[in-house]
Amino acid sequence: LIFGITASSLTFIAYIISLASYYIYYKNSQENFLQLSRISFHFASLLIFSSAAILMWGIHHHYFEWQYVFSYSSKDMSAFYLTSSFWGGQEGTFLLWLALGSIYGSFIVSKKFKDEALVMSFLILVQAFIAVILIKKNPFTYVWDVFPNHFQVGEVPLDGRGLNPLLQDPWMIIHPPILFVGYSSTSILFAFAMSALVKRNFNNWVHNVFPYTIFVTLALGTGIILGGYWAYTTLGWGGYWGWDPVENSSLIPWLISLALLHSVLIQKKQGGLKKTNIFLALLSFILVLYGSFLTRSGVLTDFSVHSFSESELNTYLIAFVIFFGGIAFLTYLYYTRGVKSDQASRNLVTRESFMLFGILALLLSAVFTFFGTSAPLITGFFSETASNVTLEYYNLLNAPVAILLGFFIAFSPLLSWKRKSGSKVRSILWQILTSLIIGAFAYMLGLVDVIPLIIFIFFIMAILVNAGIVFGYIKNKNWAFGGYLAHVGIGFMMIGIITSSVYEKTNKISLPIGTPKSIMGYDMTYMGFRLSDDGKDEAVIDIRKNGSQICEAKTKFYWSEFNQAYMRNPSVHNLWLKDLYISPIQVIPVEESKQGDLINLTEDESVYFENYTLKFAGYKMEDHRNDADEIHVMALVNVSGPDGNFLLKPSIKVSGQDRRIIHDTFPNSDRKVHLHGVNIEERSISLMIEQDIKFNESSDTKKVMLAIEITEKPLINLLWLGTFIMIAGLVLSLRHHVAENSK
Amino acid sequence: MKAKYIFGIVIIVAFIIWAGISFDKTLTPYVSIAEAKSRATVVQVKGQRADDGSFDTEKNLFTFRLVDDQGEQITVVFDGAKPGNFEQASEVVCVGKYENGSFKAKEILVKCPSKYMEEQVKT
Repeated sequence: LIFGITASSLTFIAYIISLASYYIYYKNSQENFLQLSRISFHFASLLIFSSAAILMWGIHHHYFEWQYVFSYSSKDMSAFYLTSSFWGGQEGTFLLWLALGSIYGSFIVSKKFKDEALVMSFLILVQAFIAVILIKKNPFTYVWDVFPNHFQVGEVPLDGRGLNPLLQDPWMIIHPPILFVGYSSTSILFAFAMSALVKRNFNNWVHNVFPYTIFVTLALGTGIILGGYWAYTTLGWGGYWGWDPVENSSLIPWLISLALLHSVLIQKKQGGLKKTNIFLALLSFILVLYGSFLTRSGVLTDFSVHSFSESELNTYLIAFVIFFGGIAFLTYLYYTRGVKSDQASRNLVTRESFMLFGILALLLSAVFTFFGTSAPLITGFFSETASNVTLEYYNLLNAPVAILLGFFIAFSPLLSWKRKSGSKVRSILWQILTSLIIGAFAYMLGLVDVIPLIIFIFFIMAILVNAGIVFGYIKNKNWAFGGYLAHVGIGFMMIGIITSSVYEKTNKISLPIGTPKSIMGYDMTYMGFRLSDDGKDEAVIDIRKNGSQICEAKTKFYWSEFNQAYMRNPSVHNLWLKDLYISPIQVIPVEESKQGDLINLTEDESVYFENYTLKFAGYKMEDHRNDADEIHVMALVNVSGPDGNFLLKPSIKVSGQDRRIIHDTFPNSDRKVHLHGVNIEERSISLMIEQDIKFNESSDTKKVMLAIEITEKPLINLLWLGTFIMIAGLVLSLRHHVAENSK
Repeated sequence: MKAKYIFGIVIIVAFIIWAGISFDKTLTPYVSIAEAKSRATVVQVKGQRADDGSFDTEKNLFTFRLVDDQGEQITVVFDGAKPGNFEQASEVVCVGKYENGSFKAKEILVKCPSKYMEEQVKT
């Protein structure tokens, strides 16, 4: 504890010193102060990396007296997953952010460029704020300080609580750090934009910030994709994207960064958009902060599948958002007064105009996804009870965005900058024809809804046009085609998303053990439970088509002590043209189908059971004069149902120690009704009603059953292919522009 | 030049109208069970589970009883898996619609008491 708090406090102090001396250097250009500020920045970085290293070491060596190690790891975890414990909790992710911020800072310092003092000051301001969070919520706090009721002072827990099994997944080792690289790198955009504002230098900064913008886009995009892949293979929502607040709060900054990437490009090529670019750069950072507030604050606990607990950091996080939002927008308003931007475009049919419309579509998507995600917060303001939008909102909203994007991605590469140039459009006649033909084929294969079909055709077009340009570049041995390649990737992604989500086929079935059942052209047999390699229970399903085995689906289905819940993981089988996605729903044991249902009744209250309405009318006691010890309690239950109204009289006879339950039967079906419990004071009873024999007739119901959901996701491989191409395009583009900038 | 602005404004205005309609259409208010029964729209209800629920292997539906803090009860039918921590649930949130005597849930969220949550951090 002492070490942790001290390290964080020293980090904070070092940042303050660095900030102060950067300021002095900025005012009167004394070299000493520049040196001092750099040294204290590096000192802070050293502290951060030591803390991170010590925490990592502590996790791997089971220092359970540290609250963080206790809360997020345990002895039975492999070294592989122990590493991901580092970002299993909030404190670790803040430490990760600080470490990444130090790397960016050192990189900017090493560039030794003119505006270092200002850019670094704003970066350090962000870092200092996060260092304060770590002082308040430190990973090295002792367990007995956090859980005084569970542990005596000095008592080291024998084992930790372990990591959520959902996070013990290979994807979870790389997804969070990459996403955090993305989140934290928006602070670079913030720092550059603020420094440009303060210096009223609205032109040159875009050249410096451009490679960083590509970097942010790349990191956030990769992080989001990895998260989607994790959700698809492990979480088992049945999909890669669920419009969950957590996902949205990473998607929104990504959309903004994509918009920024394109608008910075326009300004670089031909001016204009001065204020827009500053604004978007600031916005991307503020929205990352807002997202981390929204998802960690507990505001959304009633609305999200992800379990967020309210954190005591709530007020601090709000302050964080308001502080940075406030200074960003006040500075923006103050320094952009009277700034006149040049016209970014003069003609409608130019590349920049089309790009502007594309940017507009991205921003509209970001803005309205933002409103949807914040719906509980917004509606909470206006009425007592907060409401949320359903997932349909996002799908409705993003359909027109997809159409616009498809159109502009397909046509803008054909246009020239500045000049009106319709002529090239005529040279792409064969691409238009090809995409229409492919569209017609898709229509015949079942892609019959209008909007998905339009999106599909535009993106086929976008792939053809952009891939054509990429090949042209390769022929000329020019490597500057990253942007076009990324668009090809986006095209494949969109097509894969449409085919795999709009045209997925899904079915549910209950499989009795050992008996094959036919569904969707497959013969499926539930083979029983087995222990998987990592010691978890898994249900095994044999899947055959026309007699030959396609695969043995192994869906994990186990009790997690950590979550106090049954965990279910899907089983995904990648075939060339589709994925076969099997999610377990439930295991139905034999007892359940034999036993009856337990129903609680209070006097004069109607309770519904199957097709019947039951009403407990009261007790009837019979004292037998001849034997005073014997009591006979009879419950009177009025039943009305499809087969008429009747009275049931289940009863208990008590004589001394002996209790005898006397059942009654439903008049038409011989179903037995037992009096299971009696509470005379509360005037309530509980009844055990046996299952209807009609349901028990078939032999299957006597077997253990596994209910599963089977989904076919056509052409999902196109989506994964698209993600690879897009990432490759962004990497190429980053490499190209870094090289260009250092010339 | 003017065409560009007109085009842009048309996109923005059309989009705002479309977003407004979508928002209004898909907004699901939190209501009591009594209110949910009287509405034909998608709503959210919150309550405690009144039984452990059962799974119908014929129709592949999960059914349970939900009771809210006013004591009102409702049968919830969910076309999907029983939440893994259903037995531990202290509170259940259902998103869906009341139809033909039961609440057809599209989504179920389960909230569970956590062993270590009740204690405040003291540093």
